[in-house]
Amino acid sequence: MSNRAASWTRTQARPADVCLIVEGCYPFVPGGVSSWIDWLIRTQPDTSFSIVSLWPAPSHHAPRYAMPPNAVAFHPLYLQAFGASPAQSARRPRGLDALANALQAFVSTGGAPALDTLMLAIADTERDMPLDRIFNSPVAWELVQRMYQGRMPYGSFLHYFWAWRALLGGLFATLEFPLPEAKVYHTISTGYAGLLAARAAAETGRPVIMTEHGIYTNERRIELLMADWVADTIDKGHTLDDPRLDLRDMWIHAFEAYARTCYDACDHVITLYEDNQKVQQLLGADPRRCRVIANGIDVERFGAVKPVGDAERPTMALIGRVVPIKDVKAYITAAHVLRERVPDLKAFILGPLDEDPDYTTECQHLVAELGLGDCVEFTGAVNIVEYLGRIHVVVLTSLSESQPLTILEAGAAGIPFVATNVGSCREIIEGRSDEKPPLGPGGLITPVVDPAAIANAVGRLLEDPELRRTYGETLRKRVRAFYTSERAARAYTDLYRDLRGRPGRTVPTAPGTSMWRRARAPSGGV
Amino acid sequence: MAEPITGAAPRLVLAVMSAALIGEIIIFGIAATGRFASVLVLGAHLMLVGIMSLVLWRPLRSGSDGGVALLGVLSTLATGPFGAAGTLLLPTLGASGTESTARLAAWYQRISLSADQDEFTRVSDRIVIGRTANLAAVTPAELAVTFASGATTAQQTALGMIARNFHPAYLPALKIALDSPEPVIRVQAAAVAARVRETLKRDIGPMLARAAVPQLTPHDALALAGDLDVSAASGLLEDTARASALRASTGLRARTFARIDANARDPHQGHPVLATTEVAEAYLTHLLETGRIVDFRAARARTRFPVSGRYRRRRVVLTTRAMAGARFKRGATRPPAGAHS
Repeated sequence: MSNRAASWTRTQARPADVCLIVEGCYPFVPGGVSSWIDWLIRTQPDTSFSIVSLWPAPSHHAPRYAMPPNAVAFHPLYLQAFGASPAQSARRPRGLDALANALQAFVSTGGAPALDTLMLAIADTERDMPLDRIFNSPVAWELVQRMYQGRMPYGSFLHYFWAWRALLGGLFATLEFPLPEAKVYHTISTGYAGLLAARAAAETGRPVIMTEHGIYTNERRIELLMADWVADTIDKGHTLDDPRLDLRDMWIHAFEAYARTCYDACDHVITLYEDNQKVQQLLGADPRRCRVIANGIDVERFGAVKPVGDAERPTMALIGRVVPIKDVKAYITAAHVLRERVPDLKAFILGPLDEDPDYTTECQHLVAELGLGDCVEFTGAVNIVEYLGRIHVVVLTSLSESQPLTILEAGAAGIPFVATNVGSCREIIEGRSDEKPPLGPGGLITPVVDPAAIANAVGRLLEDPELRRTYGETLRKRVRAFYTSERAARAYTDLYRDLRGRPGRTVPTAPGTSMWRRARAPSGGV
Repeated sequence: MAEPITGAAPRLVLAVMSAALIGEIIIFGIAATGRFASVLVLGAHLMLVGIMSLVLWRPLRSGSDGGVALLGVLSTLATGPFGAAGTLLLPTLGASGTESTARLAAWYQRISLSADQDEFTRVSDRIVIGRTANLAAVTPAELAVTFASGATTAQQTALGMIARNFHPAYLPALKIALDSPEPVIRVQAAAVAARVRETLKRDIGPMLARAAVPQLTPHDALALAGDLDVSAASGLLEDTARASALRASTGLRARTFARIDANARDPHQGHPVLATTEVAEAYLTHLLETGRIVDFRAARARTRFPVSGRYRRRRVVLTTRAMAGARFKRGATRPPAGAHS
């Protein structure tokens, strides 16, 4: 085992200041969210963290991040490992009806009260039989039949059965997991991680916060609505409002219920930009608890870049990996369209080419096919700072983004931006609705998958040096004012400080709930 | 609508005829003893028929159907107990007739397209009688409305449907969704556009390779040509791939129709290639489009399609299937457990 991997076995007995609950990313999968978690822990050196990392099953991957010194404990939680062995028992535990009803209500509507009722019902049933035995016993068969009749009687029972197993296996695993003690619980998504955070709120009364980058529930909804692996067991044709529930609906409703439960439990629901906030509120988050803490960058690193002269060859650049989600083909097509207007156009593609070699080859073929060999240049992974001084306009043609750092980097260098209307692009380029004083636009926004509109926007900026300078300067001001790393780190420092010192809320005192707390308390920690 | 005719007071008729039968049997028995004069027996018979007529007169006057009652009176008058017995059997024989009448009424109710029909019955009836809804024309317009002003959940469901069953007719609606003011819809629409594009890109290579296979049956060749057209019209293929798809579909059709023409000229050949509705329809359309009216008439006569009924219903099914783009197969995506990175 490498030193990096070995360090992740660290477990300290004393409670951490913050318990970070993460799902499907840190520390095994690199990416935006994982990097952010690593950044968060390292920018709070005076705060101790324990990390609960949720996975479907034990991961064979090595950790991709070194464990920060202030991370005192790491706890993996495996969702599909629950109730692995079958249990034969003719005994029927008490409270099975209540458990079935509570489960039905929880996966249908969610919410903190429904979670409380469910926990109470589980505690009651567990007095006769542990939950993992229930899950693999004839009792489970009775439960699944009841829930099927009540929830999805028009669909295929066989499909329902396996979906039920997957859905409730994760739910039970989350509710049974020994919760680490902490002063604050911080989840980075809804889903099962959010559920664990909601349980922490109910069980410990300690403050819970959430920072959502992408909207988990929406991502799952998109996946589920488009998925071929989910069988359509009811033929709804082209009907959009058929009330009968099928498997897709069941999954989506369950994730929405989990999200509602998490939002209910959180003292602060944080995201990176306003558009995401609207989605969170649509899913049930209380607007009074919602706030935006944007990610930031090291402004000084990019601020030293000297702007390119007006007499230089007109140059645009796409900064990013050459992968389909960035829609590099739209960028290349836009270059093709724009060259009619700007014949000596130069178009850089600054980013790694090795993540999706097939797509890279297709992009290169497209460049050749459109006769753009002398115009478009793939540089591969480069030091962006070295190129920014040669670029008039930076372009982002992505189909989906959260809060792209490239806009901040270009903005810090005073370069105007053209971006598709995804993620927080509009907010960074045009400013937040509550920006005081309003700084004005720092670039132009276009629809996605629209090379002509992208070409038109870039053309406007290339042909008008004054507009370019104005936009570049505005973007620079905005980035310096709202998107620095220090500002973001300070926001979390203040938040943690406030919450750590806060006394815990009064935990529900219903007799069953108290019993649940006693039953669940790990080593008397609650 | 007037009440359907179901017979006048059948219970009354049954009761009267039963009584008449008993009376006629008694009179018949008395006559058989030979102890009474024929005039007296005839008088008793006539008196019985007269009473029957009086009892049944009121229903006859009320305007209801008095056919059974009249038949009973006349047959009893003419044949005595035999007529009464025969009349009593009539309602039994007429039971199915009554039921038919009820069915007729229900059927009339349905085809009259009255306002109290449910939507399913109305659409079903339109299909059965050949007045089919033009799904191809209606669906994209409705989706466009959904994306312009529908509920968020309906828009999300519609995007899922487009992703799973893409058809070029959905493109205008998809473009509206891509520019939606709702971030949640924009994001999903972009994901759908990306998925559809990747699916088309993945499928187009094998489709072009298959189009080059010379042994394809006319049915398979025309189906493949249709799929190639759909891909080309999607607006999501690159220029070269789109041109290749169009070339391949044109070539496939030309080859297939040439084979059918060759068979038609050979007197020893049957016309198995016209055995499927899809092929026949495509071939007939081709003949019309190329102005070969004489050949069209000949081929039309050979295909012997019924002009209504099952053939029309089949057309609806085919149209719906084409709309759903059912031939596009897609690869599996990962399940949700385990979440995101």
